[in-house]
Amino acid sequence: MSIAGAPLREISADGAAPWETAPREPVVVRGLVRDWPLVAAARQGAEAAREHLLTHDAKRMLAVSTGPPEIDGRLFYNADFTATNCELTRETLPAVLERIFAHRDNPRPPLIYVASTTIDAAAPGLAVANPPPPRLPQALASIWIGTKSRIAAHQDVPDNLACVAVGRRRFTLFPPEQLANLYIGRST
Amino acid sequence: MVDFAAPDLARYPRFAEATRHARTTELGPGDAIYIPSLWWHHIESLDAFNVLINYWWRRTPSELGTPFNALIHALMTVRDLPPEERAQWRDIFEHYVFGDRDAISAHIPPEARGVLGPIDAAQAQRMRTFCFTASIDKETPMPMNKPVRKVVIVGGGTGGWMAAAAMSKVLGKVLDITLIESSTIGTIGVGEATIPTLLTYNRLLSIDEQDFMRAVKGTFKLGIAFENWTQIGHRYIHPFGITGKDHWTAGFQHFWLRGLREGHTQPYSEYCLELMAAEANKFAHLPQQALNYAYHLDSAAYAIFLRAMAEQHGARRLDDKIVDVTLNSEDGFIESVTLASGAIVEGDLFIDCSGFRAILTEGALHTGYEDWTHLLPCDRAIAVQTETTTAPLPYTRSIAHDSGWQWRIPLQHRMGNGIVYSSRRTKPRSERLLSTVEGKTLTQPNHIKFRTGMRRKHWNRNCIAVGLADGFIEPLESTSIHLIQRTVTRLMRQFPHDGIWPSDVARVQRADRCRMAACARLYRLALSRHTAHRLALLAPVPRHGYSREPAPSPRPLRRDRPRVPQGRRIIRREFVGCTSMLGQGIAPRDYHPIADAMSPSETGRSLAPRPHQRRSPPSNNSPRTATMSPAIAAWKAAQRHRRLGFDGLPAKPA
Repeated sequence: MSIAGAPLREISADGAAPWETAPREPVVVRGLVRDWPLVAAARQGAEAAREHLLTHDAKRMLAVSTGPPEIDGRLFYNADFTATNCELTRETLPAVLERIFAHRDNPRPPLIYVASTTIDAAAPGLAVANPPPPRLPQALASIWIGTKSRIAAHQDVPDNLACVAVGRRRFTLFPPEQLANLYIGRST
Repeated sequence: MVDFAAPDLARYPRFAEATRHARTTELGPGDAIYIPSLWWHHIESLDAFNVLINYWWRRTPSELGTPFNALIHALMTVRDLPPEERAQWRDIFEHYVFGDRDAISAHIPPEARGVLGPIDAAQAQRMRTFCFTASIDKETPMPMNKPVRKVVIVGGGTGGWMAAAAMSKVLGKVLDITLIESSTIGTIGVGEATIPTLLTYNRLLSIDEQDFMRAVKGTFKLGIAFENWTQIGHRYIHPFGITGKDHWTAGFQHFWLRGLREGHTQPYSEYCLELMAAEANKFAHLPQQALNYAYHLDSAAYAIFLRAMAEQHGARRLDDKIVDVTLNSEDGFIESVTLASGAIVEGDLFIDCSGFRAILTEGALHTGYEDWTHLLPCDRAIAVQTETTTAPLPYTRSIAHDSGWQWRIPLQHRMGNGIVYSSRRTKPRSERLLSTVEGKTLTQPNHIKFRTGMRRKHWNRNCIAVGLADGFIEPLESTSIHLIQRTVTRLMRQFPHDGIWPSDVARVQRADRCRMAACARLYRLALSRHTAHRLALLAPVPRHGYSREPAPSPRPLRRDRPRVPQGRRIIRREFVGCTSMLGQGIAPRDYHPIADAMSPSETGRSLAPRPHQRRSPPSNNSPRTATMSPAIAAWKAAQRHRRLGFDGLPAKPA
């Protein structure tokens, strides 16, 4: 069960640049990055997507959060709110993918999550092969890789364009003024 | 905080309202969502393997920074104000931050609008600097902070009395100074050799040199003779003086090296007045302090001398033992010490001079100790005093032996002797010490265990550690008393009369670390790699130095590079390094180009022997003998490599 909000407005991908129009409103652009080789690989299957990532592996260490199956993919605080419920390690891309794929058929997988990793640092070739959509301003590009997960509601100061490459993702959005009703945790 | 899979509306009732504004979508590969700035988003990855790439960008210039920092700063500075002030600040923010920018500054000429005008990169930088410095100025003192009036010094060795004498003489009228020492506890008292900085301390305290010398049974010291260090039978003096005449771009050694290339053969060491005087067993007070020197002193007598001075200036001495230390239950500051007699001595600032035992800083505050044994493995010393058999020499002798070294410090009435070694490499060396001393022994051998290193915090809460309580480095370069002096004089310069502030403590901590590390480096400097291996004095020396403090010790002279790293002042002076390295026969292959700017005749003139240099030293190493000095030999060897293109550079015409 999940929060079922009103559906988000959707527009077609052809020449779409919704960040250029005022007032700024969230909008879904179906197929905006459908031409990415990573997306093409994902359509063939998870194995092919993994291969594509590994072709561009730059042998860097990535920060990985790992949480036990009991948390059901929910990144949260620990019991006494002194830290998160995950353990942070540094691993190579092949090692993380190996671990993720070991739980492919596990109905209760652990949370394995590479969050917000700058592509230019982690795998520069991947950013070249899968370029940002046209008309996007100069931006910081990050990659997120993981098993089933749930990330609590939060806000970012910059504008954000999130492009799903592999797997399905559900987004639940709230306008900024809902701050008081969302029981936000502490971010700093 | 709300679990979207099972929202607990009893606990989070307002969340029901939020859900009415929620908008949801599910994306697959190739789909994208634009989330404008500050829109809340909850994200679920639904498959076993998920990858997302996102882009973040800002529409405002980057120099404006992020409002998030302003929020944090406002939480710190505004949120907890009294209600009335808080409301006023709301209005001020409303006016300046959210009001019409042009309207509110219309009455000010454009060029005078400053922070109210348009913000460019330079203006943003000024504002950032303002915020940064303003937040430092508003630093909060340590909890329970109070002005410092009562100073309690624990321990009456050299460190305790140096602190008490200086503080009572200079600040005695405004401070209440108490020193607690027990006449039943002995002092280590091996710090009997000093470096020239002690003259400054004596001058600060207006100590008359003749009174001082009489009281401490002192002798004059022009340097340290290192015997058998590079090889058995070799000896060089590390003098307190400056060698030759420097140019501001480069030290004298560069000109001397150029001279070698032109056939000048006078050893480097002969351009140092102090060294020549030491070799000739001479001493004089020259005008303008042209001869640098220090003292050898009887540390017990020195403590008595300083005690008289301290008491004369109002310091109170209690002959008692500390049996307990009371800490403040809230901030852990030392409140008082309880003595064996039952008396309780309260204080605002405590100076721990209790030696290796470190009663306050370790015993009560558990400050912790950073062990440097991996760098300098000696951990035992044995000291014994003997009768003098000859007239005192004007230098300290440091004699290497197969697993450590011995010191010999000549005083007026006796000789101080000691041996330093590593307990893990050799058995106790008292027989060795006793078999090598000259003259009748006056005391039983005093066995001292030590651990080279330093206290993790030199200044912990309201306690400052001085001397052995602060740390220990073998006295090879006579730096123990110097370290005490530096701590004491700096404390007096930056006396925390208005309370103890974290930034002061942090600054002192940094400086102290550098100082200790500098002394440890100086020690290592005395050991070429070859010597260190031969004497097993250091842990095996990796080719490229160490990764831990005080390790990265760029040797001031390298065979392959003529430039000398510009280090900190005080004792890490260029010439100190050069004398030491050249004394060990380590010469660089090249010199600074400034030396080539001189014509050969100028070089000849500047290197020509002067009258005082022509006097033959009493012992070996006469410049005109057939044997080359080790430094010249090293230089010649380096030159041979040059001609062979050893370093890939074309050889210079000789």
